[in-house]
Amino acid sequence: MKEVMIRPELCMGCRSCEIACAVEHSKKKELFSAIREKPTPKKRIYVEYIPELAVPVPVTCRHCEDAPCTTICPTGAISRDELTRKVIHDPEFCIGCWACSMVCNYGVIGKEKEARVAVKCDLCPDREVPACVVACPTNALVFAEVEEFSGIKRAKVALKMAKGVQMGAGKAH
Amino acid sequence: MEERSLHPSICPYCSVGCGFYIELEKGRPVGIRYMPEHPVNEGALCPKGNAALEILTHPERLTHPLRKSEKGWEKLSWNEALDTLAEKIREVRGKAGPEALAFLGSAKCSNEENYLLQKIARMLGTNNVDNCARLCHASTITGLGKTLGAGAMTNPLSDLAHSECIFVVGSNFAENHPPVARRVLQAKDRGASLIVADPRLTPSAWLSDLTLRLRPGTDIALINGLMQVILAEGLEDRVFIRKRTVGIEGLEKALKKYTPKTVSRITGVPAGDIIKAARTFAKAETASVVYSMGITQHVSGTDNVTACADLALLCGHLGKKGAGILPLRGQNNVQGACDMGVLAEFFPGYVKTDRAGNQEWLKKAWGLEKLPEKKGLVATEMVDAVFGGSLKFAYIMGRDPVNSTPNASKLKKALDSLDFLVVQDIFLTDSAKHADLVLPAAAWAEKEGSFTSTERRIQWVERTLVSPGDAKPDLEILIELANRLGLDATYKEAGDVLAEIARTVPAYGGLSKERLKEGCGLIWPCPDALHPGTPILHTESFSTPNGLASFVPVEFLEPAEPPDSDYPFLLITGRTGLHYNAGSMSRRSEALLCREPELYVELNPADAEALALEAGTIIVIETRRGRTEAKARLTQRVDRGVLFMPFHFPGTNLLTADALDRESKIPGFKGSACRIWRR
Amino acid sequence: MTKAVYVNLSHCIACKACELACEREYGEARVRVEVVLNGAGGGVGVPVSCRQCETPFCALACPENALGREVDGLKFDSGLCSDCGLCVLACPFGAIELKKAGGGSGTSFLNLSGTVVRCELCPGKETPVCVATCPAGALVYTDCESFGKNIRRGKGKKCLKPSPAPL
Repeated sequence: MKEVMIRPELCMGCRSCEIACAVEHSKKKELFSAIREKPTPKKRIYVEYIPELAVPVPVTCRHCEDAPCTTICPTGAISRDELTRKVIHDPEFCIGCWACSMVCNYGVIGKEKEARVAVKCDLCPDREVPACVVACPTNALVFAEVEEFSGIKRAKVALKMAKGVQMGAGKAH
Repeated sequence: MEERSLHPSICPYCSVGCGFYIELEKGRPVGIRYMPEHPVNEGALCPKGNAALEILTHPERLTHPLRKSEKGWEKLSWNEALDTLAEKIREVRGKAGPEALAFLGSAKCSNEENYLLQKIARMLGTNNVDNCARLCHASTITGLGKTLGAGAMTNPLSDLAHSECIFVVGSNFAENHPPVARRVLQAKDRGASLIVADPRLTPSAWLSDLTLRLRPGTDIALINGLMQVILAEGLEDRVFIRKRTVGIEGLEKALKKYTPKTVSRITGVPAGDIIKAARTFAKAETASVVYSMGITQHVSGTDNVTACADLALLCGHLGKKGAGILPLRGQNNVQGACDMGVLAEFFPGYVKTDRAGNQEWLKKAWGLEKLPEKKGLVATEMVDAVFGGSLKFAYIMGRDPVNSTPNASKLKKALDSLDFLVVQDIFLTDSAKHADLVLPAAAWAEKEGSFTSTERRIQWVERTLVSPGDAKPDLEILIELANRLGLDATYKEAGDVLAEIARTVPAYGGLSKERLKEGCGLIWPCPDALHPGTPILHTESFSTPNGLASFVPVEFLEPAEPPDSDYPFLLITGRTGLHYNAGSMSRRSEALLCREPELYVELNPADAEALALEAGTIIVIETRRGRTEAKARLTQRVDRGVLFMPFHFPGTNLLTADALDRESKIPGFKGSACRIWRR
Repeated sequence: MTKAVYVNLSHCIACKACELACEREYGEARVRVEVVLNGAGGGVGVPVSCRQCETPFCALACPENALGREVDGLKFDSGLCSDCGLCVLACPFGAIELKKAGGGSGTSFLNLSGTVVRCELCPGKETPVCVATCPAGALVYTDCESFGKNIRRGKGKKCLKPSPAPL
């Protein structure tokens, strides 16, 4: 499955992803109406600023293969969709015990204040590519399979290495 | 709502020195309130701290002086009891000389009480004074003494939170000193690495980033191995070594043979882990070494401690915030009892008894003409002295040697062969049962005095409660006894004794009752009344005569009692989270006892299968010294061939070995060969 | 903001101080530490207490409406309780117990009222005692958002520590 992969070194902390996420999860999916909407649309991606290192890091649900939140949920509100491999959350069954947020290793299960249920990344079911990834201006967020993501990194590294090699093709010394 | 008042106090259990408030209603303790402003524990209390009040109102508290007679225990008045005692002391001293007397101080009693006890002993003419540090950290005093010059923790506990690497060896701090875990976890949250070396996978090991599971008793090999890697890879702090230490050449030579491969063979720790641990420790900007009784309670105890000191010196991890050696002591005032000179070889302030000049100094301080010149017997030597007939009288203050001393059956015989034994305690402990005279003492909140925690913090505990029955503060008992012996103790209260301590012990020079009562205590050395205390030792120079620390190379020797075909298992002992030392307090606490009710022995499931033992079977454990029965717990925490037993219950110390470390005379509790079978 | 007791599971040292503190304060422990061991000797302590659910099963199950969720938390009215024990059955965390009023055991026709024993977050105290006493600082009295934020911060720091050069 494709996931939102993060390249923290490219993040500049503009929080476009957070806004895009909240807008995408509003009723009209449009910024200006989303602001006034009740319940307030909730973001599911978090850009954390690390003061000691003076850098921002975007953190979002990793859709873990062996997800502790799905194990702990007493009602089955959080479960794995066996077809898409996503970790999905059904607010209908959520009792708001926050055990999922307690065991989550990334701290990315938030709270829908009005409905008092958990909210988490659903990888934007209505879109091809999640809104946060589309919104990211620096490509710090990449929507890709794990192997694909490594492939992107490898290509970049290869490019850097290749710079030191003489490639012929008529280049004169 | 009735009138309730809060009174600050210090936990009576371990040496961390946590503060809390006792809640009183009509003079009775009704609850505990936490003290988030306390610098040591930030309000937190471990299970024992939460149960601390239970023992105060326990029905088994001693309320009257008791004398043993044919009819059983007979109640006495204080006057009768103290007259008998003074008479007996005079009689024994007159007949057999002062050397026939022995005084055992208490690491549970205040500095003032311990100071007065050793003063009485020395004024009577004997250096036969000792305290339970002999059983837990005597090797710290000798080991750190010869390398750094001061046998105490170098940094306060809160400093651990600022270490980048914490190397823990032979300490199960998570269970035994839980507030230390708080600091360790704070450091980990900041990104520090935690390395735990222990034969047993304790809750402390659960927290670690790297666990080194070594064979029991191979600590020196492991630490030498780490140092060898550091030297071989050039990771040592050359500037520190050149400027502040001597003796690196000797160490370098001695370490040559401790290659990771050799060490791995001796300790059972993978060579890769040894290298990894060495690199992490040496490369950290600040690193701490934390150790406890897993290091000290060995026949090679002094050498083990020395190796720890060498390791810290080698990387320059001393004398700054977050870098130091932290021996976690046992009892709440074991540091203080040692500082007060309740040790056979030291006068107050670690002044050696056998040096002539020192004698003159103390004679002047105490206004005496004569002081004992002979080195006294240490607690572990006293047993043999009783059998030899040279020791006839013992005064035990707040201590339960029957349950805490190795080879307990021999000790019991010794106690019974004494002419006269007096025990001063809050309960009729197993040792008190052997006594001729039992004196009821006040418990910790029922008396005032200063206590020195493991981080050298001296804190004042106020008297908040009234003792049950006729029980009296230990200090009052000692003052009255001293006066009956004609020793002229003119103190009115603990503050007066503290004033004398301040005049005698330079490190305590700036202390007074008023000053200690103000805040949350002071950290010694505090030489004068304006001195703010010294949280970090050795910042500029070491406490040695020339100010330089010395590297002392130590060699690994095979443990004294290796398992063989007759006794195939190796028994190690330790503490659990819910009990405390000999258990005379914690085993009387309902909340603690119901959670950990009986003696157990941990063994590896594979060993159990080989012997067809199931979990819960009562098994018999036998060593060359005795046998005990305990319930089996099967767990992967201990390796094959290793057994673990807590020493809080009577029985464990019937098994342990009483072979002594040659320098510190600490017994090698850890590591007795044993055999087991189903009862 | 609804606060509850959260556990930083990687910090728990299984010392049971929380249990003892609760027992000392209320006579019975409303938090229990379960120790989970793995086959290799490692382990983790898990303190379990009432999660202060937003839509509590115990209240949904209560036929007499003795238990009900109000804005500031779960409320219990012992006058309405019929001692049926459905709440105990319903709680997914095993964090609720029913104490018979008057200390009797077994349901009787004459004594129809019980008392629900569960963590009530120490009313009247700034911090619940279990949190205040936790020596390891594993228990936190907070809401899920701030708890998550702390974890995210920690993770963020970790993924940056050996800071890679931008690719």
